[in-house]
Amino acid sequence: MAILTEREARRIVEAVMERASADDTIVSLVSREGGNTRFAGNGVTTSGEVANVELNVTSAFGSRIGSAQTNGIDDEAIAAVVARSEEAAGLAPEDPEYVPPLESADYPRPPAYFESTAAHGPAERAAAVAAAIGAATGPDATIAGFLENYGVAYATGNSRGVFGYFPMTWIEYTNTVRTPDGRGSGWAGVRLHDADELDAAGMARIAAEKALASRTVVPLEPGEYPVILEPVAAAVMAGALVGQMSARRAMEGRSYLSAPNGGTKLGERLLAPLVTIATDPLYGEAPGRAWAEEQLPARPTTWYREGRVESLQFDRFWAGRNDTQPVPGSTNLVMGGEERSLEELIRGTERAVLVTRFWYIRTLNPADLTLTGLTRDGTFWIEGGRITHAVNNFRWNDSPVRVFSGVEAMSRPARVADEDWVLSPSFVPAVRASRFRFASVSQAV
Amino acid sequence: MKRRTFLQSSAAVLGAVALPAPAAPPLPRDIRRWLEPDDRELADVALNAAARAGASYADIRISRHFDQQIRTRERRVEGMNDEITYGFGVRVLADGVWGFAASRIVAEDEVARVARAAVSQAKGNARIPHTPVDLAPVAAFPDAEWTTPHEKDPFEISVAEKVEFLLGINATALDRGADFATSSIVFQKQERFFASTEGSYIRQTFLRVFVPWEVTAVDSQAGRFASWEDIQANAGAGWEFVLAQDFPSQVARATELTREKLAAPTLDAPARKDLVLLPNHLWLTIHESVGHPTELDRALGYEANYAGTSFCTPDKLNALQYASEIVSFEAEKQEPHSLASVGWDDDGVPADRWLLVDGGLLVDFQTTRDQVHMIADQTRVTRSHGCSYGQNWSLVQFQRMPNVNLVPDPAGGSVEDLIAGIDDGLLIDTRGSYSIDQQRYNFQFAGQGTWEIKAGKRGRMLRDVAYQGNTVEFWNSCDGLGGPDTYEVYGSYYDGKGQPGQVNAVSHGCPPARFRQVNVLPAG
Repeated sequence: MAILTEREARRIVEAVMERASADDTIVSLVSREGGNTRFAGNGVTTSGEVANVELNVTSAFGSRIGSAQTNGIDDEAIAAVVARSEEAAGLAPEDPEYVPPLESADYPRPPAYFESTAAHGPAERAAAVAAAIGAATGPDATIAGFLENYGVAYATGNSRGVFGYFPMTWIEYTNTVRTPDGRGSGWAGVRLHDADELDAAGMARIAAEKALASRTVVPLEPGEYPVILEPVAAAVMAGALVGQMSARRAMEGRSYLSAPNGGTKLGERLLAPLVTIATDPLYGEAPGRAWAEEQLPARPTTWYREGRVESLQFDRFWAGRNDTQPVPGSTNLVMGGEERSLEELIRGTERAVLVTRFWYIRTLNPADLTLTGLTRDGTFWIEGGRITHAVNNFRWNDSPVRVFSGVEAMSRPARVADEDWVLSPSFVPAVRASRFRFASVSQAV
Repeated sequence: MKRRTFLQSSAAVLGAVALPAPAAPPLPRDIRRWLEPDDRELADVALNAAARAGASYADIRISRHFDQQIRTRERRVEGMNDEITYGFGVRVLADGVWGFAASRIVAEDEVARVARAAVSQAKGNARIPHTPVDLAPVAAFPDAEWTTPHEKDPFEISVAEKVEFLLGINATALDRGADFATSSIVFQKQERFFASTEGSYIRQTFLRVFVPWEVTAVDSQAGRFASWEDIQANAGAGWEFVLAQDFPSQVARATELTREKLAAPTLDAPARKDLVLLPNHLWLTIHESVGHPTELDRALGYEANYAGTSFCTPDKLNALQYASEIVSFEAEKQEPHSLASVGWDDDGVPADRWLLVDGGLLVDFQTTRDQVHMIADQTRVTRSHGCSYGQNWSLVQFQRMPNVNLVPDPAGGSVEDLIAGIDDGLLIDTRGSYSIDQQRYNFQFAGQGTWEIKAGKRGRMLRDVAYQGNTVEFWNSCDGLGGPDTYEVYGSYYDGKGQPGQVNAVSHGCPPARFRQVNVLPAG
């Protein structure tokens, strides 16, 4: 078994259209196959392999819309899902915001499929995990982690003739090394398209180094400190900003991008001039997907340019209401950096808290995008251009708007793991920001 | 069906906590009256193929999942979906290590192929040094069946009726002055068939219903907005649960409170205050600060790379004063309408009920069959508590949270009685923002509504307030619980854990409770 080819996907989309009787029909098809290996305590705990498909049909009679989904793609399943979708549409009320599907679409073809990843099977996963365990462990360390890889084919089509297909592969590896006394913990991870780029043993060594270095903590009081956020922590901040670019929510007065009386902050400088954040489906280092929501072709959009809000996201209805063109959302996140390594960024820093990773982030105040969360798995103090010691973990309460308004320097961007709030794939630098509000001490290690 | 109906059955069973789980007598394997022959035969094909390939144990889950969502916003349907997924997963033990494989093609050749693939995978994993898996014994249930108690299958209610119901919720809010209103229904029906090489054949149907809603008020001139979100009206039940909730009055109250919140002051500065937490808020505090720390896999480091570990480790059994003496937490999977309730778990273990914290003392953990031996010396419990759950056929089962409940004070009073004992404090209503560290020490929670308590009386409303604390210190500061009449049950529909990530639905029952001298802070 393998993921659906373009020909197979097209045949399924056509089979849906042949059975459809609605005024308009939209199809979304996702075919996925892959496997994973999970490990803890220096041994494998669970593993899995699965192949599945999702066939989603949306039907519209006039402006009455219904939708249904199945994981069957034989004739009987296709007929049933079309019937369920059309039945739901027949029972739905008129939608005053209905916009008919696109008449045409020219989709980009992101370079995101790699045979190296598709061919990665249980034996390759077991070998990578064994290498990581070997690299990380000894009397002073215990490793837990996760390796998953899969191929996925996306197809979309509608009754007006639009059709798109693109395949992708993903491989994700994360690991946490802890010391047996419970005093040290370190983490490293990455999510890639190409398995050949993965160095699981290298990730294990980074995590082990952080775990051992974090065993002896010099307490640090809560307060406001300069920080260096490693790329995955910076990607959380960037993801939180870009996840809230909706023009509608801003104009409705319920977003951090709202201005009084139905206005928005479009054009305002909210972030430091160093900060530029964009999406670009064809970006070679971190390609995105071919289409965004509503079958809109994904396209390059700069959300923040040199700190200013340059674009807001418009869905098709809201664009029509406001006499503008739709602006599709992000299918990847690309943040510009500076030409230096993380080590060089540290060397140029007088004093700061170095944050490896965040945890359990939730919104505290959506009006200014204040979030709460914690640091985890490697929090260190930098003094005079070097890491001097580990510090305790913190709970923090701060807004990425405020944090990124204080960005002073950055490293080269890097691919990061798929953490909560990260828009995957993200290609983001480590950032040094002048201030970050650590609210209380977390005893957690 | 009220959320409070839990108590009558709960209190009756609490006394039976120390008893072993019921074990049905083995039945002859040819009793198949209720089974669809295909499922049973396919299961046997998979289990035999696994055994022939070298598995010492195997189970198969064949399941069909129906998920329906309808989302509305103001006076329109924003989206709907009606999803069916069908498939099977085979889990095997070979050379002392787990393997798992799954497929959407439920057919004889495929179940055999997938079973062999799972064994091959386990044997490959076994080349990495490991401690062999040790399964606690469980009786065989060769003819078992369980269905979530319900009156009306929500999938048999028309889309039109559901839409009308939701638009009615929104209309109530808009008519009362909300600027925006959203509401949704999320229904799940899962038909699950489990069979194992130990002779169990178990068919179950789970039904879950959930109606989240939110109202928002905007002061456009000032550029401010406030919301009231309710994402806890859920149960293992049918459409009758939805109809029994008094959404019109809840939404009308929330709309008025949201307007009030828009203009409310916040705290001047961080402080220490006494708290009264209402059940519709406290349940999530229990979930995060008691439910998760007492997951044994987390305590043993199996979740170290994702959900985290736990401050609460097995060496603290019968020694850690987790909470004040008035506090006991029970775990169960038996309450008929709680979200995690089942007849049997995904190890084939019958639903259990036991104490995690007894009179403030940590006494047990949440376990699956392969974990029991790890703490049996301390707990003297040799059975699994039945906490194995896989989200669906495509994801391997592992240890998930049962319903974890705070036992009310049999002599406890009302919310007003708890408030009366406070000179300077806060009353917090409904779950809001919540976050806790990966070892479950440091938490910060907020509600949708917060009021001052002054001299034993409820005072003015505040906005953007959170409380922050250390789990053990916080629970040891609890000096008042409501009585049985104040007990309510709420739940989390999407509790995440594991890699690859899986969701679990779980309920928590509790009375209101009072806590002394907790850190509170302006949040935002």
